[in-house]
Amino acid sequence: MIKAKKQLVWFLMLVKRLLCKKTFVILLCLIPVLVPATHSVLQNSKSSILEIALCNPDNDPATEKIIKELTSDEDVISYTITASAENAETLVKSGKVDAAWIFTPELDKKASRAVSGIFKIPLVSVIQQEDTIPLRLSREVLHGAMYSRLSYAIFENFIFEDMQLKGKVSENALQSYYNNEERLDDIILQKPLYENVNSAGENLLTAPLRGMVALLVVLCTLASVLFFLKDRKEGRFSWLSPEKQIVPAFACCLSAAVLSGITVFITFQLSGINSGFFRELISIIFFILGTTGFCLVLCVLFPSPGILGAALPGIIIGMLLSAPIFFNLAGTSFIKWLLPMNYYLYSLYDPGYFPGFAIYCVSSFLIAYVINRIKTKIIFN
Amino acid sequence: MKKTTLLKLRLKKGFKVYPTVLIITVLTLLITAFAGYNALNSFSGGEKKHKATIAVVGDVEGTVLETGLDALREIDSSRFMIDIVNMDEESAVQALKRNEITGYLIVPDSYIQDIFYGRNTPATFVTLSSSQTLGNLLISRVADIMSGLLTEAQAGVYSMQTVLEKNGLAEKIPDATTRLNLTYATNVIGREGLFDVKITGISGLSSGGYYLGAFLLFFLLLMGISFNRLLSVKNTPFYRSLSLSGIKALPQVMCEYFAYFTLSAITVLVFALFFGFFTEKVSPFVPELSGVGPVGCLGFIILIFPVIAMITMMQFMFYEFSDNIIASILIQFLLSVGLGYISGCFYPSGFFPDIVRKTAAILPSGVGFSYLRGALSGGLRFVDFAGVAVYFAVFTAITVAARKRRIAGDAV
Repeated sequence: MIKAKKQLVWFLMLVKRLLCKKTFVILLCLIPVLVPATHSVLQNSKSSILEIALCNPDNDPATEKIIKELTSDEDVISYTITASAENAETLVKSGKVDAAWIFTPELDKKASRAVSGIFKIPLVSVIQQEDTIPLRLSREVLHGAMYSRLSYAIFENFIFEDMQLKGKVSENALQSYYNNEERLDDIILQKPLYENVNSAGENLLTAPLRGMVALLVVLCTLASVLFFLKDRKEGRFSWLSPEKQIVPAFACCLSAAVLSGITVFITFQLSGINSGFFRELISIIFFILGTTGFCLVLCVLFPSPGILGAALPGIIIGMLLSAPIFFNLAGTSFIKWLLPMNYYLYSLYDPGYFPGFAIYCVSSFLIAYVINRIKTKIIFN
Repeated sequence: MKKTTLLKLRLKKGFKVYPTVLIITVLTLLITAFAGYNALNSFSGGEKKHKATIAVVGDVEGTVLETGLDALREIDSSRFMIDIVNMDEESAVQALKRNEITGYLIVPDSYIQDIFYGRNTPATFVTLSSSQTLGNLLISRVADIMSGLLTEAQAGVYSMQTVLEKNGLAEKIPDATTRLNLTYATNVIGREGLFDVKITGISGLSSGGYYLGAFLLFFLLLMGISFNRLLSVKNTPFYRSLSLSGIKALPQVMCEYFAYFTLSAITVLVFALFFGFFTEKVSPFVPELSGVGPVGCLGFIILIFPVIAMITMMQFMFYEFSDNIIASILIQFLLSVGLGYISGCFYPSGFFPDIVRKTAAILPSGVGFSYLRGALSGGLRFVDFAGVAVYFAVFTAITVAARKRRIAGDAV
């Protein structure tokens, strides 16, 4: 009980000390203002992965319909309409667009020839500076938009050529059969692995905000570890035995983690990046404890503030890469589960991660305690 | 004290902490290089490069679907972008959680038969909602398109059955259905033939070159944190005594800054030299590096010295403003990740809405990135240099003003 009281006094004292740092407080207050504003701008604005120039040089009505279909769905690709093929090519060469799609005249007629026989007649001239994976996937989008016409052409060819019903069935009748055929709903449904999470409204640009802001908690806590190591180096904790210096170290980590954790929690509540109040609350409490444990381990491992300070960019990059913030890289599993960020980000989507998170918190405190004991015994015996 | 003595003193102090910074920065660079390599891989085409992996869940052995999947693996153009593997659902869920696959497709047992007979028992494509990454977004879009293709093909097959039935050819329906389905499959597999793809060659910067520039910019932005031990300590009484002895705010700032810039420049030059030996390995991703050896890399770094100077001055300015180590690291982090994010270090700037793109372009990171891109593509313009120079001058002026206030005794 007395020990717990001592810890609490340390904690409150260090919180007060941190709150006296003007710049630190200003920065913490800025985050709940800046992040929701950024989120709002990114969420409500149009953005795309690729910019493609569309060209219908002969104003073909069939092509016009395809262009209309493409431009009605600009979530991944955005389009620019150009009048001439030369203009489209210039746009590609100048780097203003990633590719140009120039449609052939009389598309419907040529589609019929294109789908019969082994050798295909190109229907679209694609101009690109280079052939990247997003650009290859964009051609799937183009094929998808053209497919209704191609599918009809295949059907028509089959009836007239293969089944030799030309003359027996009129073109209008075929068209009417095809158009009136009842389409099944989606044949491939898409669902997220964690369905109960409200991630609606999050897109490619807004999704990383959560990870980036959460990284602040780890960074603030690490910075407070530097603060502690500097104080210790200057002898401010000399009155405590080396083994007991872990107590102020713990309080130091916890104070920074709590202050930044509260800031992050408020930020997410204000910005609408939210998976439910209680889940967010429980996750952030675990995250604060996990971060405190992780930073405490680093605190007992790193001998001086200089080395830890120099290591900070590496730790930040390690977290940015191993956590699902920007890249979601495979092959980082080993690093991933050593860092508290991943438990936090995954537990927001899947409560199944909470037991693992709890084990992580407890074991990090234990590891810090054991390393501290071993270190002080080796150094002072 | 003379100005040269102060400069020597600052350099000596800098080199005292430098070995630690250099070792740790080497480690940082290795991790960053790993990230850069992955980013380049995921944005470049090519058979042996990074592909998205999709698992198919369900018993497909000996079914038409197995033939279809084999066709996708062996002859379809998607084989350059997507790897298809078979798994049971439990393994697929675990693999998805570990990011080993982009998603998995649950195929009901009678999926193909049901499509033939017009019953809808949809397949389900499951992705990880916790990662709205570029790869996931594109693969989800492709899954949408595939669904559309199947629906259209179905309409064609059912219409054909109706036509045959109405023309007294009902007995031909089973055989015709198989043949039409095959025609549809052949056409989908040969879809690349519908496009006449013309590659003009890179006239500006390749996507690999873009990412190299982004990687360099982010690295420069983050490097400021490594030097926190050197820069976060503020000794106001010492500054005052220097001021009294005739070394005013400007020379004080310039001596300190020069030491920091020298260490940063040496770090980048060492890496460039090291990197120069591996450029041929990277050149398939970054064509701009083709034929560039260690000397060429050193030349490039010298060319981008103005950007290094501007970024280091910006970092120095923010260190001047912060009164403690926590705040200074926090500022450097917010600067590097925030500016790096909106300036296109993680996603190409083209992904961002117009307003963000335009704002990012006039920020120091945007101006610096424009200079880096120009230097990489060989199209450096005077306006890039002017932007960097103006920012350098502004940051210097603000830093000197802040130091003056510190010396005068006002809180900064």
